[in-house]
Amino acid sequence: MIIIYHGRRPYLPLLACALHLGLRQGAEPFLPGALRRDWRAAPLHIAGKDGEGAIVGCLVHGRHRGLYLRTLAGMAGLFGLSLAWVDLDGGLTASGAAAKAKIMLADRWPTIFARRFRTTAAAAIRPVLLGRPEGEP
Amino acid sequence: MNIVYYCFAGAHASVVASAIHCGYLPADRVPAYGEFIALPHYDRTAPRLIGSPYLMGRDEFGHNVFFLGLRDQRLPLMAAVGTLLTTAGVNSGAYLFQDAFPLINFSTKIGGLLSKRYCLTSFGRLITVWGMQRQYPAFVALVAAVKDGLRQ
Repeated sequence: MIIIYHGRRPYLPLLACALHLGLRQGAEPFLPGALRRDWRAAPLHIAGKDGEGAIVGCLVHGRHRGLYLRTLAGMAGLFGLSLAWVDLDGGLTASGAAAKAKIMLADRWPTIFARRFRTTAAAAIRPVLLGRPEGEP
Repeated sequence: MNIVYYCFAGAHASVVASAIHCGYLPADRVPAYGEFIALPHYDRTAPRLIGSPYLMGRDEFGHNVFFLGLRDQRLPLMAAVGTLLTTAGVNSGAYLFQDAFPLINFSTKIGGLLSKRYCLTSFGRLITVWGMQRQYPAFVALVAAVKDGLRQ
């Protein structure tokens, strides 16, 4: 099973990977380093393997969401791979306009707002994580 | 083994290359207009389906041959597919991806634009086939190179 958190920009998928893999303490060094990657050259990043053996990765597709999902799903079909998708652009359940605005700011300008609004973004992401994230009861 | 030819829209270059590979188009002469149009997917891939791989058929080695459109995301998408397959432990000998887009000439691009974007289907197809006929030997050479690689 390969779990792919995907979004238009890298911040939310990376944070979802960090939460899924239980890297909350280590998310600070993980996020800035990964955010600096050349996502246009390599849009799929494998973050690691969770405690249940599922491979966890994130996909940054920009405005080509459908194209990327169709292609990777098609390839998974050809080679008999099991993929699970989590959309972080439309699937978040942030409560309130303030929380949504904070997430939007952190997503769009992560170098400025990522650290400040990480808790808000993590609270919105946590309900959509697949499986049992590391460190959860 | 899965062999995937890819191009921009998955409607012209990759369809023709995969059809030559499967033997649906001749390798010893340039096909006529009707032979191109008779291909089931030639100039027919719907824009909303670009990205899905389609099976063209099987070649003489028993390999499955697919064609695929990747728009202008060929390099990043191929990198993503490579990462996915490597991560999943798929043997690199189980697949072959071949870019057919560089073989497309200006006429075929214009014809495809007229056919798909401006709905001038008949006129656009005529121009795509005209361009494809002029470029056909390059497609045959590409497929021959792929098959030579498979034999080794």
